[in-house]
Amino acid sequence: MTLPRARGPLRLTFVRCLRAAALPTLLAALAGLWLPHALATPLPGLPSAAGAASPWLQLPLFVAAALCAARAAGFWPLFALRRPGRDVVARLQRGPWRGAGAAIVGALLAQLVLTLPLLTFGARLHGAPATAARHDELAPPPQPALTAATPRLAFTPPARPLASVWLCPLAAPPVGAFVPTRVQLRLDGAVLPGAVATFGQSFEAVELPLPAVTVQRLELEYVDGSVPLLFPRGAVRVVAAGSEPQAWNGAAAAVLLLLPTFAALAFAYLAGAVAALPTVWTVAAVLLFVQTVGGIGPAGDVVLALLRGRWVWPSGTFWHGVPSLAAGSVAMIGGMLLRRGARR
Amino acid sequence: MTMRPLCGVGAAVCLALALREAPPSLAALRELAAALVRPAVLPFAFAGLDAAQRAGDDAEWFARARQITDLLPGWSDGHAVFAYRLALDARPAAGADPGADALRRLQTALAWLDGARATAGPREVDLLLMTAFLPEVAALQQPALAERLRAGGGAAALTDRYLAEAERLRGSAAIREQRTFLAPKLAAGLLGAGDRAEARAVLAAAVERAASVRDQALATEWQQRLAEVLRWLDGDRTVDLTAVHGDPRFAPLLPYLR
Repeated sequence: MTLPRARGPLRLTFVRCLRAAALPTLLAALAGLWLPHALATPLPGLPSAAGAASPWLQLPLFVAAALCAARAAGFWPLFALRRPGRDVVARLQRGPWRGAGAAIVGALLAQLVLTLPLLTFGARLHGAPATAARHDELAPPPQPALTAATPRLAFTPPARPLASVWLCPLAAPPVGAFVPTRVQLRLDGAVLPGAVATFGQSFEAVELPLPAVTVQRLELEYVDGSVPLLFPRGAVRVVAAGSEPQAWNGAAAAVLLLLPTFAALAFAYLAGAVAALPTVWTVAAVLLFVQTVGGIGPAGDVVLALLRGRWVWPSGTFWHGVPSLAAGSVAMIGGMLLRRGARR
Repeated sequence: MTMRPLCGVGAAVCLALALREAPPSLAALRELAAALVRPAVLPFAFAGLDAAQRAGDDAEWFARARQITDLLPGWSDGHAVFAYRLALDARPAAGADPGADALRRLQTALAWLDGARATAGPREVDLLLMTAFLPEVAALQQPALAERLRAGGGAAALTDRYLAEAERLRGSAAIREQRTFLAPKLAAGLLGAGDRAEARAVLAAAVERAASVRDQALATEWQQRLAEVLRWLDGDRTVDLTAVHGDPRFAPLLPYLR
C-alpha cells in the first residue's frame, strides 16, 4: 500500500502511527478471535455471553493505542529531551505546543482508523448484538433503603418510552426470620400488574418488562419480607424502547476510546519537558495500561457496554471519559508552560 | 578454549537425558504458559466477574467464572462454588418451563464438576462429595426439579452414583457410611419412580453394608430398622413400624409404608 506523501506534524505522525500499528493490531485482533476458542474448555449447556469476551476485544484495542502512542512520542522530537532535531524543530515549528499537539492528534486519528473496524464489525464477531439499546442509570433518592419502615422509593426516569427496568439491589441482613423481600413496581403512582420482584440477597438482578410508554415517576414499593434492600446508584436501570444500529455504537465507542490515549500522550508530553524518551514511553505505557486494562477510565466500561448491546453515547459510560479528557488537557497546558519556562 | 567443545558435548548429553526422562508434552507447555500468564491475568478476571455481577447477566457471570476456572483448573472449591451457583441461584430464562430449566442447569453444573475431576488431583474425592450433594440440595430448593428427577429415582439416585464413585476411589469408612445412611432416601426415590425391585435391592444392600458401620450399637439399630422396612415391602403387615415412624432418617420412605 502506498501512502500519500505527508508533510506537517499531524500527517507525518498519522502515517507513521498507521504504519507501525496496523499489522500488530490485525494480528492481535486475530489472536483475540482465536484464543478464546483455543483456551476455553467447552461446556455444553452454558449459554455464551458477548460481555465475557471483553478482554479479547480489548487486546487489539490496547495494542493499537499503545503502538500509536509509542510511535508518536518516539517520532516527534519535542516529546522528550535530547532527541535529534529537537532544537531545529523548536525554532521552526509554530504554535503553543510546537507541533506536539498536532502529533497527538495524528496519533489519535491513526488509532481511530484502526479501532473503528474492530469496534463496529469486530465486536459482532465476538457476539455483540446487532442493535444497541439505551440504558440509563436512575439517580437514587438521598435515603435509598427500602424497608417496612420506608416502604417506597421514587425515581425519575428519562422522558422517553421504556422497554424494561432492571433492578439489582444490595441486601442487608434480615430483620427477624429470613423471608425474601418482594418489591412492587409502580408507574406514575399506579401499580403495574405482575411487576413484582423478589430479593433475598445482594446482586440478584431482575428485569421487569414495561409497557412502551413514557413514565414521569417510577416507584419501588415494599410488599413484604424481612430483608432490607438498598438501591444505590447503578441498582436501578431503565432500558429505552427501540434500538439503534450497533455500527453507530461502535463508532461512538471508538471516539471515546481516544480519551485514554490522549491523556497518556498528554502526560508523556508533560514528562518529556524534563525527561528523555525511555521515561516518556514508560509514562505513556503505564497511563494507557491503567486506563484501559486496569479499568481506571472509560475503556473497560465502553467495551463492555458495546458487547452487551448498550448504547454508550451519551450515557453514564460517556461521562466516565471526562476525567481523562480534563486531566489530559491540564497536562498539555502544564507541558507547554514547562517548556516555555525552560526556553527563558 | 579446549574446554568449550567438552562443555558443549556435556550440555547436549544432559539435554538428551533430560528429554528422555521427561519428554516434552503439549500439556506441559500449556501448563507452563498458564503459570506464567496466570498472575497477570487473574486480577482482571476477578474484576470482570465482579463487573458481570454488578451490571451483567447470569450468562456473562458464568462465562467469566468459566474463564477463571480455565485459568485455575485445579481449584476444585472454585469449580464447586460456581457450579452450585449455576444449579441453585441462576434465574430461569424468561418464559422457560421452571422444571426443564432447573434440570438443564443441574445437568450443566454436574458436567462442569465432572470435567473438573481430571484436574482436581488429590482433591478429586472431595470434589465428588461436593458433586454428590448438589442434586439433593437443588431438588430441595426447586420442587419442579424434584418432580423432573422422580422418574429416574430422584435426586438421591444421582447422589448415590457420585458417592459410589467416591467410595471406589477412596473407600473410607466415612463415605461408606454416608452411602449406607442415604439408603432410605434412595429407596424412596426409586419407589416414587415405580421401581420397587430396585428399591428393595438398595435396602437389602444397606442391611449388609450396615454391618461395617463403626458404631456397633448404631449399626445394629440401623440394620433392624432397614430389616423392618424390607419385611413391610415384602408384604409382611405384622411388622411393627413404630420405631421407623419415629426415626426422621426414614421420613422420605413413610409415604410408601402406609
